Amino acid sequence: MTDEELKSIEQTTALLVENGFVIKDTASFIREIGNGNLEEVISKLGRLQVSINEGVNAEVFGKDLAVSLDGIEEVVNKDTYFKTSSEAASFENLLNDLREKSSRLFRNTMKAEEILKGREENLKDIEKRIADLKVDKTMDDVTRTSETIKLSYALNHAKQAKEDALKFYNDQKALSEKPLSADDIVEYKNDLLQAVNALDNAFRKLSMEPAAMDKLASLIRDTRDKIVLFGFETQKNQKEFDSLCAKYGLEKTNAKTIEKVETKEETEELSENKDEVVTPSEIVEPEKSEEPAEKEPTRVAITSAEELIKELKRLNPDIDIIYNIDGYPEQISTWEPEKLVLPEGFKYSEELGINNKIDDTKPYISAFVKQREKIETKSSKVPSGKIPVKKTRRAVVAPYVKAILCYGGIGCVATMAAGIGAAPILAASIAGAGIGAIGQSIYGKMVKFGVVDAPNPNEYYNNKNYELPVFGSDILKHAKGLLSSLRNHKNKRKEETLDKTPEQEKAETPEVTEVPEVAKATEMTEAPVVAETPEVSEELNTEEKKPSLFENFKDLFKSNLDKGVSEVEQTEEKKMEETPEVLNSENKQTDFPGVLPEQYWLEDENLNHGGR
Amino acid sequence: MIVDSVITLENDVNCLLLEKVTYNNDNYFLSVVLNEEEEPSDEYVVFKEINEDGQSFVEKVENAALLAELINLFTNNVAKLVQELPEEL
Repeated sequence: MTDEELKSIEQTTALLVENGFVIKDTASFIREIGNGNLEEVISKLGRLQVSINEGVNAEVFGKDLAVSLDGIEEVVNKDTYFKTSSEAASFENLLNDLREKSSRLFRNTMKAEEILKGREENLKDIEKRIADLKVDKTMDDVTRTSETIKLSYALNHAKQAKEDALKFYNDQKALSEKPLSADDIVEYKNDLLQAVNALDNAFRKLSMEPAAMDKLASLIRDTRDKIVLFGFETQKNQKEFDSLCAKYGLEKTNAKTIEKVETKEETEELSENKDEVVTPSEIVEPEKSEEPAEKEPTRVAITSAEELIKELKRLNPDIDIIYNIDGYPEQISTWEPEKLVLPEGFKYSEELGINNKIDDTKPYISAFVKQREKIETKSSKVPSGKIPVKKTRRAVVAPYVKAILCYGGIGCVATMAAGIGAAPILAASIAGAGIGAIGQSIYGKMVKFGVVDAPNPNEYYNNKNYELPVFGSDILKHAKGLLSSLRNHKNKRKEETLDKTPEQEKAETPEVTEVPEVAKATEMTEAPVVAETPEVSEELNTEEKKPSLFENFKDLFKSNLDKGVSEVEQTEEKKMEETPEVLNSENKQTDFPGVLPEQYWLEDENLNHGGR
Repeated sequence: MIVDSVITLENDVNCLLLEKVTYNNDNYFLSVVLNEEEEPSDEYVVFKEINEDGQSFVEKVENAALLAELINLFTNNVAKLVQELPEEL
C-alpha cells in the first residue's frame, strides 16, 4: 500500500469518526464510496444533523398557534349572529380543545410561569411592606418590633419560594424547549389535525355574516396549514439523513468525544505502522467499541415514576410518552416492551410495566407500558410478487358500505406505510387529516340518519362531534363499528318490511322480482336493500312507466354501476338491452366480459341469502 | 380490472377492489381481502395491475414511499366519493 493510500485511509477514518459516524453496513459503504465524495456526504449529513438537532420548538409553534386561535375567537365573538347558532357552543368547545391540545407540550412551563409570577408578586408585596414599615412614623416601637420580625421571616420564605419557583420554571422550560423527534412531531400533529378538522366541520354549521364566515374560513385554513407545516423541515431532513446513512451504510453515534480521542490514537498507530497493510476491518473497528457504550443503562438514581419515564425515553428514543390529564408523564408506549433498554435495577413485567420491585414489603417505582397495536401484516393472505388473477366477478357494493371500507382501508394502509419505515410518515400523516375528514363525514351522515349504535352510547351515539381516529389501527375498529351499525339498521328495516302487509309490500316493491335472479347467482348477496331506495319505490308506483330490465337494474344499483361501468357501458349497453334475459340467468356474463354479476351488500350472515 | 369487482387470486384468495388510481401510468387498486365467508377481513392491500400477454396479474405494493404517495391519491378519490354519498341510506 502506498503512502498516499495509507494517508487516504487515515483521512477517511478520521473524517468518519470525528463526525461521529461508524460503518454499519460494510457492503453498502464499499459499493457507494467509489461513486461519491465521502467528504461531501459527511458534510451534508453534518448539516442535516445540525438542522435535525435544532429540531422544532413546540413552545414557539404552540404560541404561534395560540395567536391564530385568538384570531378565530375574536372573529366569532365580534359576529352578531354567532351566538344565535345552534352550533356555537360546540364550536367554542372545539376551539378550546384545540387550544388545550396545542399547549400540551408546554403546559407545565405555562403553569410554572404562573407560579413564578405569583411568588414574585408575593416577594414584592413583602418588600413593599418592609419599605412602608421603615417610613411609618406613627407606629409604636413594640408593634414595629413585632412587625419587623414577622416580615423578616416572611421575606426569607418569599425569597426561598421564588427561588424554588424559578428553578421549577427553568426545568420545565428546558424540557419544553427540547426539540421534538420526528415521531413525537407526528403524534403531536395528528392530535392537532384531528382537532382542527373537527373545528372545520363545526364551522360549516355556524350562522354568521358572510364576511365573517370568509374570514373565519381563512383563519381555520391558515391554522390547519400551520399544523401541517409544523416540523416539516425536520421530518424532511430526518428522512434525507436516514436515506443517506442507509445508502452509505453509516450510522450516527452519540459518543463523539470518545471517538475523537480514539481517532487520534488510531491515526497515531496508523502513522507509526505505515509499512503494514491496513485492512478495511481495521477501519471500521470503532463500530464494535461503541455498541455497548450506547446501550449502557443509566446509573443515575431514579426516585420517581416521572424520572423513570424520562430515563426510559433517553435510553429508548423510539418510545412514546403518554401524559396524564395534568400534563405529567404517566406511561410509555412501545412496540416491543421486552426489547427496551432499561435503567439499571429495573425489569419489565406485564403486570407492573417497568419496575424495580424486589418484594411486597419494599416500595418500588414503576411505569406502565402500553403496547402499540400493530396492523397484522405477517399472516397476509396475499403473497408478495406478481400473482395471476384467476377470475374476476362483478360486485355491487352499497355506497355507504364502500365508503366505510375505503375509510378503513386507507387508514389501515397509511398506518402500515408509516410502520414500514420512517420515510413515509410525513406523507402518511398528511393524508391522515384527509382520512379523518372522510371518516368524520361518513360518521356525520350516519349520525344524521340515526344509525350509529356503537358500544358506548354516551360517547358515541348521536354525538356528531365525536372524533374518529385519523391514524392507527383504531381506524379499523371504528370502520367495523360503522359497518356494524349500518347492518343493524338494515336488519331493522328488513324486519319492518317483513312486518308489512302483503298489499303494502306489493305497493312498495312490486317489480323487484326480477332482481333476485341476479342475487341468486352470488354467494355474497344479502337482503335486497335495493327495495328501500325511494327512487325505486317512486318508479315502481308509476304504473304507466315500465322500465326495461336493464334500466331497472341500473336504477337499483345506482351510482355503483354508473361509476364503475361508465367506461364499458357505452359499448356494451346496446348489447345488454338487446339481451336483457342474460341478467336472469345464474353465472351468465354481465356487461363485463368474463365478469359474473354479483350483488354485495355485506349484510349479517343471519339474514336470508338470496333476493326477494 | 375495475372497481367494485372481486378478483380471485391464484391461491384462491378473493379481494374486493374498492378504489382505483393511476400513478406513473400504472393502475393501482385499494382492495380488501375477503374471508372464507366472503366478508371483508381486516386485511387491506394495494395492488398494482399488470397486464401481460392478455393475462391479468396483480402485485402487492410494499414500498412504503410508493404506498404513501398512493394513499394521498386514494384519499382524494374517496373524499369525492364520500361527498357524493346519497342523502339517504
